[in-house]
This record gives sequence, structure tokens and C-alpha cells, in this order.
Amino acid sequence: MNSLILSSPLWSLFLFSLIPLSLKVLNKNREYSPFVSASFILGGLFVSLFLLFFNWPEGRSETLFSSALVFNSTRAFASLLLLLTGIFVVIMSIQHPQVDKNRFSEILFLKIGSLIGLLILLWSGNLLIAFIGLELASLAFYLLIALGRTGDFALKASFKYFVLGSVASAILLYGIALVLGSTGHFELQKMFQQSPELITRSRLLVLAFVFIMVGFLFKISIFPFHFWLQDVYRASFTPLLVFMATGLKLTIFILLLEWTKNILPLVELTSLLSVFQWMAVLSVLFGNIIALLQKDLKRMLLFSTVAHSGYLLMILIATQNGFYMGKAALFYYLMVYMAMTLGVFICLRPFEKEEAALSLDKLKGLASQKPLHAFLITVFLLSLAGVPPTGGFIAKIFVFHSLLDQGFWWMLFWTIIGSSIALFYYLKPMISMYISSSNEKKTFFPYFITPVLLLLAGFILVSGVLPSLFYFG
Amino acid sequence: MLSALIFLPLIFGVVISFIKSSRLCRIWSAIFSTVYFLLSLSLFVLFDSQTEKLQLVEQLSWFPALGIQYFVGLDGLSFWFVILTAFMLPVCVYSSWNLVHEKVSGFYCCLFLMSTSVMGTFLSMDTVLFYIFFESSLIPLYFIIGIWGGKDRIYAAFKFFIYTAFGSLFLLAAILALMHLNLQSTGEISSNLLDFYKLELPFLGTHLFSTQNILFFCFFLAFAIKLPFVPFHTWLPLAHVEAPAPGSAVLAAVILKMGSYGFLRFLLPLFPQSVEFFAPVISLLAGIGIVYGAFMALAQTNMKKLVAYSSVSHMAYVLLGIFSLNLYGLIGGFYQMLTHAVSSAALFLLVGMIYERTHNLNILDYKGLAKKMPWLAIFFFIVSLSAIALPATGGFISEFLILMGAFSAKNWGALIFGISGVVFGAAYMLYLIHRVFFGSPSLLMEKIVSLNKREILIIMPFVLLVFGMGIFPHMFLKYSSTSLNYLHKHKTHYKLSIKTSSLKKTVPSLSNITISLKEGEDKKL
Repeated sequence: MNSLILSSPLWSLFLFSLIPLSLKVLNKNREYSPFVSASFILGGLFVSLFLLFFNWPEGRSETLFSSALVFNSTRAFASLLLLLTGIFVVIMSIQHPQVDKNRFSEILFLKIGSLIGLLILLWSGNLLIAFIGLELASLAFYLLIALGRTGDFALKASFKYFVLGSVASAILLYGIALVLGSTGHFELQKMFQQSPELITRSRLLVLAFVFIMVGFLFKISIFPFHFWLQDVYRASFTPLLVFMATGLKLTIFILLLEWTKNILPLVELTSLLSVFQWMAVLSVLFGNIIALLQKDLKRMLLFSTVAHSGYLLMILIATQNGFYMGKAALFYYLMVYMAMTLGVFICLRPFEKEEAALSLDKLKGLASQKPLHAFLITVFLLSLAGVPPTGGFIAKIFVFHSLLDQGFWWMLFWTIIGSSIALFYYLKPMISMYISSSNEKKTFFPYFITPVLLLLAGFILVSGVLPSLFYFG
Repeated sequence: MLSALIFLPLIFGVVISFIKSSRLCRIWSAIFSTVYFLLSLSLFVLFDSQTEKLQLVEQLSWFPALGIQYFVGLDGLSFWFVILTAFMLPVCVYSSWNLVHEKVSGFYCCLFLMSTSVMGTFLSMDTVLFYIFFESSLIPLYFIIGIWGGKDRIYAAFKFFIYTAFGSLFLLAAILALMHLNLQSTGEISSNLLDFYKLELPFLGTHLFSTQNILFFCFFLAFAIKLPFVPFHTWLPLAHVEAPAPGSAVLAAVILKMGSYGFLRFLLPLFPQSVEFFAPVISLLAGIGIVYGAFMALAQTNMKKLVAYSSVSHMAYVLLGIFSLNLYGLIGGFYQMLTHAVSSAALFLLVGMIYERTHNLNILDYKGLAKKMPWLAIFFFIVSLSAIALPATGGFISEFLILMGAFSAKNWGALIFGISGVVFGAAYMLYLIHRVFFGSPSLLMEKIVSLNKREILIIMPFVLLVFGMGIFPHMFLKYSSTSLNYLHKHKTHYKLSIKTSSLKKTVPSLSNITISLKEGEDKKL
């Protein structure tokens, strides 16, 4: 019974996500207004948030359903962030030009389905449940990509992502099987408590660890597993992209934080450690370089998220290597990252058309038309570039500090190079907005978007000026 | 008091951005900036020039997890820059009266925001706080150049931002490395500059990659780009040419000084052995920079570019002085910062006044301007005298002291360059004056009108300062000489303390308010 109460955010979310779909069926398969559907979903998300607060673990660690799910304050806080992301993404997709109006309920249902999958992944107590959660989320993503746009383009991209994603899942599953084969159970925590010496000896477990990591890192588009971004970008609609760039990333980073804290110190993985370090460094470098080469604004921002994955991975590695403020730093970075990514993608909304491409020229002259929105985009971009006084700057301090604390000097050097490349391309949209003014067409921001943007930009500025508020050390 | 100086322009800038009418905007900005400048003059009373200790200190814990404090204080090194920054604000407001016509409130807002960040840079005694102000000064200036600049403004703003931000990233890394070293040696995390002064950084003789040398390089790179030091100077002429006149003036007078101030505040006291080790090389490079800047200035046909390259040349003198590592050089370098600020800001404003009338900066198109604008010609001549370092002007005192410093340090190569730089400096300034002001007026000059009262009012203080600094250098140096003497005497073990009367017994904390989200956890400094 306790398990049922604790997992109530999941149930309620699921039930609420059914409402718009059932209404559509009862209405002879015709859509109600998107505001009606979205308000049910938003209601569900808020109820979920309320239930989450109601069950807040406060330092305890609870196990649910005979330790299939684990619920502690770290995971609860990450769930809170995940639900907030869900709220922003749902608001973003209302009347979004790229979202199919006739399938809005289905899209919302699938989105909440993927959110539930991510929550299960986040709470998972053993590898099997994690796999189920990840697959639930991934299946929803495959479908969403296929639903994205008319034409066979979406289908093609969806199929591509499906094949690649399945291979990654298969590798993950293989890793899980290896864990099961060599230890006899699925539970990582227990495994490391019981037989540390077994792990140090077993090459098989190291292999299993590598496989599991590959499976997860694929999903968060760490170099060299970033290539699928391109296809997904061309096929899918922006709210989905943003959700994948924020929600999925948050979940997997927190999960890795929870799981690998027992692994790195125990297993002699020094050579593996350098592999992960290089992955982080190359993500930063490649993400930034590829982003620099883009003429398309959205694709540029998308590849910049690869670089941000790299920074996050750096903090994660430093944390697992003994960085003393690791968890708080990682959370701080994730919060700021999510706010700025959501913010900047929501800002692009008025410029978006049916097709995926969004050229930089579209922003031209925005500052003279909409000074407030131009200012907000500036805040988001400066934060992404890590310029004070924004939250992105404090986040960058955390990255540098974590690397220095662990003595990873060479990584610091490449990070600096990568960050300075990033300055180039984050400035480009700012130049378009403020400087050139040739665009005569009126830009229209829906009224419900502006308060959301103000909220996000306010968070970024406050977190930059008063970082202690959001540092939960 | 110091916080008021830092944050008043910020508050006012935000307020003014809501004013729609450009006329009201100008009037309110003028009133505010004048009051602000008068307010800053109260520092002459509050500041005690007899001690090298930090005064008027305000200290708050800001981000305890990383030991970052809001820590501002005033001493002899920063005193004049604070006054200078406050002085440039009304000058910029008045000089942009007829220059800026579109987005007026935005322009003034940027100007005030820049004032905040520059003031913060000069006053902050916490390294991360310093970095935040140092870096955030880029954004307003970026917009000033990018929106209200000339034809090629986009490229100029872009280059300016990239160059300086690139250097700053190394600065940030070095600051964090210092924090880390401090954590290792004392066990407490802090980014307080006074704590860093106590650190003994390992310097392994001639070993090039010792900790001290690496950190020295990082700091040097950031400040040298800002200065700008010769291989890294290419952003400056571009930025100057494209920026509107007040932007150029504030860039020359204040922003470049942030770089040279960094040398005094950070490099000399933090890395004494590295400084000594690299001093000959850097002096020589500075000498080359002097001559290079002068030659480049000689080759220009664009007035603003000529003045900009003269800036490069003059700022290299600062470096030459500082790296002679003796008292003459140090004081000379410091004084050169002030005289250069006055003379080059005035030159940029004067060039801006010419540009306002003709929208042409090509030297070859001008002839006989003196007949049409006698006042401007006189002012221009007087200010150039300071740039050429003629006796009785501020420039003479500073360059004389710098060359004397280089002489005592036996930097013969640098000395030769420095002396020839003075000659070349005279050459390009006189060339400019000769071409532009003398002869019979050309066709372009026909409709030109003489300076109006507002413009004369703007330039007058600069002219007085040029002579004042030349004739009574002591009046200016007495506020800083204690600090400079102390810096020189305690080169290898520089320790700065807070003047006790202004030190509060307990450090109040911002976190008391902020941490209330997390109950039951005791956060201490």
C-alpha cells in the first residue's frame, strides 16, 4: 500500500493523460480545442507535482514494490525538475505550428507516456526496471517522431532513430545480461555492497559496465553517439526536440550519478576513466565546432546541447572521482541548463514554420519590433555562453572548479578552447536581432508564452546573481 | 558608499530604459550623471591617502559554497580609476547629446550599465567578483558598438567581444586554480584577493611550466588583450573606428585601463618571481609595441584609426613602465594610464565632433580646418601636446618617468624603442594636425560650423587636466603614491590589509536570508 501511495505521481499522471484521448474518442474522433486538452494534461502534471511534494522523502530512502523502484530525495528533486520540464514543454506545444493539430491529444498522451517512462527510469531500483523505463520512453519517442510531420520524411527519420536506438538498447540489455550472468541479480547497489572483490576481479563486469554506459550515453548524445541528432532534428517538431534535450538528459545524468557512485571507486577503471574523460572533452569540442559551422539556428542550438552534455559529463566524472560538491554542482548545472534550453527554444516559436529549417536571418530586426523578447533571447544566449551575470556563468565555474579539484588540467584546457568557440556562435543570433533590421514582417508571440519566458529568464538571472538560492549543497 | 557608486548607474539605467521620450531621457541622464560624478568627488574627503590599506570596505558573503564574497574596497591603486570612471559618465552623456538619435534610452542604459561594471571592476577585492564585473563590461560595450556604431560595426563588435572574452576564459581558469591552491594550503575555500596575496606559489627557477608561470600566463593573456598588447591589439583599432565617439572615449579612457589596472592589482603582487623572470622579455615586447603602434599610426589615413594606434603605442608605455620593476617605472606607468585616459579620450571626442559635422574621417579630405573651427583646433593641439609628451603636459611627466625607469632597469633595447617612440609619436600627431588643420580650407569644409557651448564645456575639463597633470603631478600622485610605494617595496611579499576603522567585526552574510529554504543546515562562511 505504501508503494502505491509513493508511486501516486506516476499513476495520476497516467490517468490524466488518458482524459484528452478519451474525450477525443467520445467526440467522434474530433479534437477539442488544444487549450482544453492541454489544460487536462497540465492539471495532471500539477497534481503529480502536488503528490510528489506530499510524499517528499526528506532524506529517507524508500523502496517500492520490493525494491523495484527506489525513491529518495535526489530522485524526488530530479522528478520535480522533470515534471516542471513537462509543464513547459506542454505549454510550448499548444498551437505550435509544427505540431499536428488533428493529433494533438495523441501527441500529448505519448509525451506524458515518455515522461512516465523517464520517471520510472529515474526511480528504478534495478537494471531491469531501468531498461523497461528507458524503452517505454524511447518507444514513445519513436512514435512521436513518426507523428511529427506529414510525408514519408518523418517515417524515414523515425525508422532510422528506431534502428539506432534499438541497437543501443540491445547493447544496454546485453550489459544487463552480463551483470545477471556474473552476479545472479539485477541490483547494482546490492551487488557492490556484497562482493566488491568479485567486481575488481571480473573482466566480464567491466565489459558489462561499458555496455550499460554506451546504452545510456547514446541517449544523451555524447560524442561519438551524437549522430542521430541530425535525423531527429529534420523530422521531429521542436517541443519534442527540447524534451529530448532536457528531460531525457536530466534523467540519465541523475541516474548515472546515483548508480556509478559505487562503481568508479571500486572497479579499477583508470583506463576506462580516461575514455569517459575523452568522450566529455570531445563532446565539448565537437559539439561546439559543429554548432559553429551551422547556418541554421535550431540545428546550431541543438549541437550546442551536445557540448553541454560534455560539460555535464565532466562534472559527473569529477563527482564520481571524489569532487566534494559534485551532486549540488550537477543539479545546479542541470537546472540552469534546462531553463536556458527551454527558454531559447520557446523563444524561437514565432519564427517556426512547417519545415524544420530555421535560418538565422529570421531573427533580423527583432529588437526593434519586440525589445522585451529580444532581451529575453539575449539573456538565454548569454547564459548558454556562460557570460556573467547569468546562471550559465556560475554553472561554468562549477565545471572549471570540478576539473581543477580533481586535477584534470588537460581537460580544463580543452574546455576553455571549446567554450571560446561557443562564444562565436552564440553571438550570431544576438547580432541578427539587434543589429540588422530588414525584416518587415510582424513577429507574433502568443500571449501565454511571454510569462513563461519571463519566468525562465528571471530564474536564469536570479540564479546568476544569487547562486546560493539554488545551490543545495 | 562604494556599493552606491557601483549600483546607482545600474538602477538608473534600468529606470531610464522605460522612458520613451528621447528628450526626457537625455535630460535625466545628464542630471543623474552629473550628480553621480559629484557624489564620487566625496571620495576625496573620505579617502585617506596616507595609508596603503584598503578603505571603505564592504564585505558580504555572497556564495558561501565557493567562498565568493561581495567584497569591495578602495585603495591608492584604484582611487583615480574610480574618479575617472565617474568623470567619463557625464562626459559621455553630454557628448552624445546630438549624436544618438535612435533608441536613445537603450544607448543611455548601455552607458550606465557599463559604468556599473567598470566601477565594479576597479573596486572589487574578490577575484570572482572582479571577473564578473570585468566580463560583464563586454556586453554593454558590445551593444554600443554593434547598434550605434559605424558601417562595419557588426564585425568590429564581434571581434571585440571574441578577443576579450577569449582572454577572460583563461583568467577565470587561473582564478579558480588560485582558489584551488588556496583551498589546498589553508583548507578553506575562498576567492578573496587578500587571501591570494598570502599564497606562496611555487616557482621553479628557470623551469618554464611551473605553477606560478602558468598562472602568470593566464592572467597576462587576459590583461594583455584588454590593454591591448601588440600581438593581441587588432580588435582595438576596429572597435575604435566603428564605435560612436562617446563609446570610443570610454573605451580608451576606462576599458583599456581595466587591463593595465589588472597588471598592478594582480600580476605584480601575485606572481612576483614570474614577473621578474619575464620582465626583460615583456619590456622588449612593450618597446616593440610602442614603435609598432607609432608606425601603424603614421600609415593611417583614417583619423580615428590613427588615434587608436596611438593608443596602442601609449598603452605599451604603461607596460614598459610597470615591467621596469622600479619605482620610477611603476609611478610613470601608473601616471601614463591617467594621462593617456585624459588625452586619448579627449582626442576621440574631438575627432567625434569633426565626424559629427562632416561624416568623413579620411585625413586626406581635410585641409584648413583651423580656419573654420578655431576652438577645436586649439583644443586638439593642446591635447596632442600631451600625447606627444611635451613638457608642462601630463604626458611628459609619465613618459619621462617611464623612460627613466627603463634606464635604471638597464633595459637598453626597450629604452631605445621607447625613446624613438616619443619621436614617432610627435611625427604622427604633427602630421595629423598639419594635414587637417593647416592650409586653406578644402571644399568639404564649407558648411562646417564651429564648436558650440556644449562641446566646449565637454572639452574644457580635459584641457585643464592636461595642464594640471603636467604642472602639478604631485596633486594627482599623492593619492596613489603610498600604495605604489608599498607595492614596490613589498614586491615579493605583498600583503594588503583592511584599514581597521572601516572593518566590521563580523562579516554579515547574504546567505542568512537566502539559505532559509533549507532549514536546519548551518552554513558558515
